[in-house]
Amino acid sequence: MRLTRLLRVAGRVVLLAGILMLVAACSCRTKRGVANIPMAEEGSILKDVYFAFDSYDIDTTNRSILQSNAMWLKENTESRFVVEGHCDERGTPEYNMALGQKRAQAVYDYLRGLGIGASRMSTVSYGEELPLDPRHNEVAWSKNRRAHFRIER
Amino acid sequence: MIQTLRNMSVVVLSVFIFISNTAIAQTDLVVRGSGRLYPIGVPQLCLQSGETGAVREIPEVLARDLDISGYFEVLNPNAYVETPGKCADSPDGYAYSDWSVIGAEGLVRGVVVEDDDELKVQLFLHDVQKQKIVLGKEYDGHKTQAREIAHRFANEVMRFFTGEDGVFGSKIAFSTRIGRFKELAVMDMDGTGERQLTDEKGLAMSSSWGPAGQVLVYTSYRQRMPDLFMINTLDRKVKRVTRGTGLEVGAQFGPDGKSLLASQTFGKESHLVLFDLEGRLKRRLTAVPGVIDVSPKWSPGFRKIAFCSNRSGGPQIFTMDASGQNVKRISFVKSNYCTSPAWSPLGDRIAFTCRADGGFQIFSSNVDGSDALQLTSVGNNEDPEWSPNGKYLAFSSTFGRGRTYNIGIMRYDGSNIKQLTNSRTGNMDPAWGPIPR
Repeated sequence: MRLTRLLRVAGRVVLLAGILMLVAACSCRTKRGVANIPMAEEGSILKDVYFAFDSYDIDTTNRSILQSNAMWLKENTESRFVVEGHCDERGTPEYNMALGQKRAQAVYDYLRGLGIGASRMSTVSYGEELPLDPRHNEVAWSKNRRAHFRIER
Repeated sequence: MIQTLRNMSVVVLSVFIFISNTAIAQTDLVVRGSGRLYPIGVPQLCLQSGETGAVREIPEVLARDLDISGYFEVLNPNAYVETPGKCADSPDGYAYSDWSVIGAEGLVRGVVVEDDDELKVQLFLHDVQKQKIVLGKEYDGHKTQAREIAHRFANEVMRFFTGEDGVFGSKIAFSTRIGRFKELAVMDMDGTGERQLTDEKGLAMSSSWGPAGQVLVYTSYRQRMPDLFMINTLDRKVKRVTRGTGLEVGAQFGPDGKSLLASQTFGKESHLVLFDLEGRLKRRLTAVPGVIDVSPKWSPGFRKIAFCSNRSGGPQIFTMDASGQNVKRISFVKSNYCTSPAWSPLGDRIAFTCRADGGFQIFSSNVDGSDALQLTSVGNNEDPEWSPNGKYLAFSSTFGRGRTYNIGIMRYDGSNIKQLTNSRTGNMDPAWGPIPR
């Protein structure tokens, strides 16, 4: 009986030590700095929209994608998300930062027009820095000129 | 770390002309610019005492500087007749015929004395045809400062030939790709001494130097959203400048280093703005609805600003007064995409990037857009940045191979292109620091 209790206590100590080690490992990781930018990812529930070179126009294809995204957002009113603006690798990184912001903002404005609340959305540009397709051809470039929705919750 | 700081801090050297020859400044040596290169020998120095490698390092650094300058043809050391490191009783006690026979018109030689980790270095520029010394300098420094000594004498040689300040020993900061991140790095302008400044695991980009050559302002995602930050390149301490929800990018220090000119994209608008060093908005300079205004660059003297805007369709280069008035387009080079202007410190030219020949190329024109010249034509070339003396441009280039960018420099007319870095992952967006004093 006494042995069982001893074992139980020992088990708890081991568990506690394990948790402590895990926490320590996590905080250590944070201290060294985990990534400050996300991985490039393709849209799943909310579809990405694509742009022509040096353009931030919401064309008719983009409109229908954004309309179906808006329908999902209206059914899932709890979800918050970031609109990411991206560019292809061509052109100057600095100009592409501004261009990516314009793309994100154009999408944000269009969704506002469809009745999506401003408190649910924010924008960020990653310029040409987070390509979805790392290759250097027109197929890759057309995939990389995009606005992407990153769902926060 | 202490050692590093010591190396990075201002080099204390006693520099003086120590030969008193009335004929010193009298010479027929002529620099022919990017035309015929001036053949010069830069042999190993004479080691008078000690066992320092500076006798080889100084001529190597000097030779590289003179090669980069675009004015000299440094003769191949394998062709030298004279014994390497030869010493003589007096600075001109050598056989000039050893040098004229291999075609040298100029010659740099010198003497090194090493004593208890301290170097005393005497360097001389000889006119081989006239068989005389035309320039002499003596430097004292720690044995770790051989490179600085070489750069300083290279600047003296440039001043002797061109009457202008050299840029050797100045720094170039740039963004370097590490994995999927971009960090800031800095190197000497000859491509040596590269070291990483940031470890943000994010995006650190669009850096620009403060007037003292110690602080960089840059755009960083270290708080996950793009804001302006400043980093001290000596101790790497970082200070946050802006805290906006928008995008601030392409900042440049204003008069006396007291303000920052930058592009701010926020909501529907993209403006050129002035911040104070705490990130408070001082003034909005442009306000055209719906367009991109980006990459503002001061003219020398801070009276005008060049910038990139897509207000007339695709991005083009414009200039305006410091007040934001009097906007004029200046890029007219048959391209629908021109970005990243840079105003020459001499005031007369603006360099920029345009989409041309199926890629991106660097151009320069007068400040009113006249006399536009295409400076590059091979591969992709972007982001020109003037040297502090206005004689060279640093830029990002693929150097005609693949898609990976590295940093290069060329003379202002596009000649003498030199690749400075050789990263397999990519270096871009150079920022040239001031001339060290």
